[in-house]
Amino acid sequence: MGPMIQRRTFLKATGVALALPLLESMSPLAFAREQLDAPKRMVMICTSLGLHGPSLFPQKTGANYDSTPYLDLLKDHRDDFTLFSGLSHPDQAGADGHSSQFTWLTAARNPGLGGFRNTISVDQVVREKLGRATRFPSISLSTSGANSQSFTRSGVMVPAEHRPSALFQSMFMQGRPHEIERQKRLLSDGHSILDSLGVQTRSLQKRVSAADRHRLDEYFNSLRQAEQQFNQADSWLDKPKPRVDAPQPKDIEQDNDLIGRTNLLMELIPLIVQTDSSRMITVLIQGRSDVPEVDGVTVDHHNLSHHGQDEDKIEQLTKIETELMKSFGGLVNGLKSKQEGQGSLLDNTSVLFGSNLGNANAHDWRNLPVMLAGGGFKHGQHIAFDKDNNTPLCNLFVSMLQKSGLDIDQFGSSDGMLEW
Amino acid sequence: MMNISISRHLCKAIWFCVFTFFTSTNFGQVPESIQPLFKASCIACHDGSADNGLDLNKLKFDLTDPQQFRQWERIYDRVESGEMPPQSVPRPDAKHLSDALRSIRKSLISENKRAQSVDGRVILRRLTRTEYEHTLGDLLYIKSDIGGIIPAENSSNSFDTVFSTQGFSPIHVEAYLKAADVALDAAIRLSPEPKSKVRRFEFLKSKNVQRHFDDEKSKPEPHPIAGKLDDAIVMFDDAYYVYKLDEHVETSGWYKIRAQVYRHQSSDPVILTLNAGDYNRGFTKVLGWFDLDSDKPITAEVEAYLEKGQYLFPGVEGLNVQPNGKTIWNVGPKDYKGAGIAVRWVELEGPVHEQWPPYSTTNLLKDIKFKKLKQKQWDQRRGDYIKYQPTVGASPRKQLERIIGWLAPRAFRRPLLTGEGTPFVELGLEALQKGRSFEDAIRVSLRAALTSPSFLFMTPEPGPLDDFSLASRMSFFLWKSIPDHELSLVAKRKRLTREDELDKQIERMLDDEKSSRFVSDFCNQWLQLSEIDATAPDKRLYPEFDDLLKHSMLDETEHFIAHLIEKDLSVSNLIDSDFAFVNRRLAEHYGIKGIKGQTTRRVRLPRSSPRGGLLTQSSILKVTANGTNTSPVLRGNWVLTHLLGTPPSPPPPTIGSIEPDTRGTTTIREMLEKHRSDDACSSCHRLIDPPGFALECFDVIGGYRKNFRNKEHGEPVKKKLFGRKVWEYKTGLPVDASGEMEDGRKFDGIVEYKRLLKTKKEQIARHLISQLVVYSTGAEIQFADREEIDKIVEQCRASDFGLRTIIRQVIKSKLFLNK
Repeated sequence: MGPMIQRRTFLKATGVALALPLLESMSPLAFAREQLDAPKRMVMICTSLGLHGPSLFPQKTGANYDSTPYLDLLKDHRDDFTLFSGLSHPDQAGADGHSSQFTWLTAARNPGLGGFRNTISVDQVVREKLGRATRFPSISLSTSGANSQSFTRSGVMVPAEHRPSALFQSMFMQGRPHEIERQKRLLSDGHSILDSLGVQTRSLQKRVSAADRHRLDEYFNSLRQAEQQFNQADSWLDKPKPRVDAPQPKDIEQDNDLIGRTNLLMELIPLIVQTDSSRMITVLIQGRSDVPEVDGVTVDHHNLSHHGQDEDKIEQLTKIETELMKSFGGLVNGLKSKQEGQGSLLDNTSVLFGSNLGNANAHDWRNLPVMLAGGGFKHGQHIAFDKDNNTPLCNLFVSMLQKSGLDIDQFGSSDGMLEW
Repeated sequence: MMNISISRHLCKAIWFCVFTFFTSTNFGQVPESIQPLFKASCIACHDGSADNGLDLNKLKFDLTDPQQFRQWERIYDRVESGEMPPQSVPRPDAKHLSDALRSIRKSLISENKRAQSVDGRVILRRLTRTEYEHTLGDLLYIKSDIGGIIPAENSSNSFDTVFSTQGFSPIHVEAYLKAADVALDAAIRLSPEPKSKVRRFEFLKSKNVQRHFDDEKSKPEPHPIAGKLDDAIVMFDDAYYVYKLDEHVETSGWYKIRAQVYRHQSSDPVILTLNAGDYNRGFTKVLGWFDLDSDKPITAEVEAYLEKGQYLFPGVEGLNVQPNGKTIWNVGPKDYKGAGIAVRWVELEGPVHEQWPPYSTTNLLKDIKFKKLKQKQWDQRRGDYIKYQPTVGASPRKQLERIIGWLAPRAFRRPLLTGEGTPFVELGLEALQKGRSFEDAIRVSLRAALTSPSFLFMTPEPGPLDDFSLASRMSFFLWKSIPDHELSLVAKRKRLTREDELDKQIERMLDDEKSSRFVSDFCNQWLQLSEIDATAPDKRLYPEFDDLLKHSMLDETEHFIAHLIEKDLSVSNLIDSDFAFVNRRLAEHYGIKGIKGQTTRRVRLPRSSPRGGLLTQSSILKVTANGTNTSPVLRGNWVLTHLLGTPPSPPPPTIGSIEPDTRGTTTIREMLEKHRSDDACSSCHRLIDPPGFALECFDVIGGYRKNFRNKEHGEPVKKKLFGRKVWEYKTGLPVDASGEMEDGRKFDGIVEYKRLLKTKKEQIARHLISQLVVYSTGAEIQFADREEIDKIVEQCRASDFGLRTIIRQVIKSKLFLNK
């Protein structure tokens, strides 16, 4: 117990940088390739209960914006990120005040109302394009529970991983030969099952009505895609996993420790990025109806977000959000202090941090807090759009996609891309 | 069989051609019979010049196009209801109006019926996550939490059974394969026979509790939060990491969990909980609540199915409040004067089983002999030892055929077609050839069957359901699972389509305890009870709220609905009833005296009680409020949408919601007053606000109130809470629950409102019927279905719209009996 605590304290004191792994066996060739064209990655983080606007948004725009309590926390990184105001997805009034949580990455309209079906999320688009290159085609993380903001083309939620230890294990810990053997057997079982089900589906399709037949195609295609994923997983099984010298993180069991859990994920992301285990990561910082473990906070987080202008509540709320801002700063720092090619990991990684609520007190989904760090963009400004007539957040998504080298000029409700 | 089906399809195809030929003469043109109305009353505004969404010059009349169909349906509805043409223009000629309506209606119905005859109302409905879990439980005789493995259903503001909202993806495929694996692990148990034993955990000796006192790292600064007595450890607040038992559950099975406990520092009853947690699946659940109303030690006991690796812990409910507002976390156990629960020990007895390998294993692996190994062997996949092995006989093919031949027809809800089982058997044989164990081979076959389209989807032929499809639709409706033996047998004898047998089976199914799954699932969705956790009440404004109260609320509503069904009581009870279902916790919340214990039971309401009916139940009042304040708009919208079936249109996009301000001295009601003067707002708010105003006399957790609660302003609170003074909040502004119905009738509060609402009994019955049709068949109500709904309404009138009658008539309706 003793040495571990020392190590953790040490890591905290020195920042994430020193906790970063060294690739033990990076071949000269791989190294050369990395220098030439390091892969582009995207990280999209959402805190689902908003960020207190007056504590975040400055009055002034442009490069000389005035700082605010929240932006003070990022002052070391002022040139590494851009703050946006006046962005949102249109028509997010949904089944309830928090429905927009599920459309933050999709921009589908009127979430949860009359026959709503979600649309594909931006990270799943990236997964389709870049997923084959990495062991994990995309990663959806959350601080608690299986809810994520990632949705497939058919509008199905991709379950999130909330246990950093489990992800670390499947990503970095070498399986013993018999375990790999067992996994291969499982995949091969899955493979034969799906094969056989495909044939059965075709025969079932002959017995059903035209409309049923058409919808069975969705099932059939799902079988096919799952099969491809099995094949891909199978081919990765033969390749050794990257080794990192960071210890396997120990999960935090207390589910009200929002900040502790967030920080574990923020420490894991640089490892994922650096080892090129995945190029697309989403993180849902899941707001909860319990009291997070933050000094001076005695009221549950969701309640605080509905502060009703109660000063005591706002003070407690900003205590929680201060920690979240620091977590984001920690991630920026973690990526920035690791070199890659001529620059840093941050230069090749676009990190979006924000919320699906602009003013959680009123469930207002307009004027979202949005910050973008890294990724090779020009930073250091507060870019403000019209408060009353917001610009689609999807325009920023499109800019991020293009910066990642993807030939996509439209996503969700975008009507262009953002340039600044 | 095949021939018949082909010829049926052929007939439809020919019929379709004929139909198209006859209608194509004036294809796409608005019929003559509608023109006079359009010309006289509509075209002046709807000529494309104004931004009102309808340009009659461009309007086509091709109803086979779903979009045009919807547009014409909307035109019909708005004209028929009198909404259009608006009051500001002259009334249309009566004949023009009726001619047009009749013509549109006829065309809509005929096109709708044509489409239904080709494909049915329901297109490929899938088992929901809830149905999947119950089905695997019933199919394999297991009780395992596997639902969580399946992706969550979409939130679509409709039922999860409705095909058009259901998605399918590769994630589903992987999840089904995994869930089947987990379910088979639960069913096929080959470990050494677990000895049922009693393990007692003395709390004074518990390592976890000890660590809490001794280890500086594990206790909160600067005090421990647990108390130490000579013979027990005292819990003042929930803290599972302190009180969880030192050992996890070793093997899955049925257990008895007992705790010897007594009340500490209190003269009021205190409440103990016994809980289980599962870290890997990320949940904890309460296994039981117990009232402790004396200082004498008692032994609380609960029986539960626990799974390997889960942990157990006792807890308290609604404690950790001292008169001075300091909690155990502030002052520590020495100075803490509040109530607690002393725990001497917790004991775990089990697992209990009648045979080994258990019935779930021998029943699934029909006629397979199990070899008892001399020595237990480590099984990598299970992460457990095995002591038994299924043995391959002379013909593994026959063995696999036997297993599939038993499982697949139950899973597919019909006899297998010739050769339909073969692919599953082949999969197993293939695995055997590859050198896999017999168990592995069997599992491959079974996993395929449990992921196959015939299992996951319902694919009846268009037209009347055959006996098997009917049995399946009935059992997924009332049991959320597959038909049982008797229902399958009746279907096999082709007797289910006979009315007397159908009646008999409906009665039997409703009487079966599995029907509680339907009540719970339907209430969760119809009444949005699944949203109960969406907001947590402010702890200072609502210190009396706790998990038990929440649980009791849900229990009330489910018991209430189940009771209406059981006794065939009228829908008017949804508006008002002279009884309610409460336990001690909820009775206190409602101000009903003399109720002991935490079992929910039926009580007669005193005449003076504002309770009775659905709207005054705390569960409903909680899901229609947030954690701090109530909004008449949200509650009014809920009543219109979920009870009356007339959802208001969403507010115009430029209108924001009212920003909650709990500091101030105005109420939301006062802010809403301005709606009255604004025409654009009042057209909807004159409908939304009345029920919302009437319900203002209930707070966010369904407590009755005469005044709002306020943290800063107001008089000190006079009433006591848990036998102590209330310091957390003050008595704020008075509540005004009066209002005026849209027809001008006035009410002074909830009691009068409920009386006025009784005139809407039939509307409520009609909406409930529609909702049941949507939920049970898995398709929204279409235009042509409306007249069928009317028929069901008429059939239920004689029973004064009894809930059991309604369910019976829904099942016996054309909508239910056809695809």
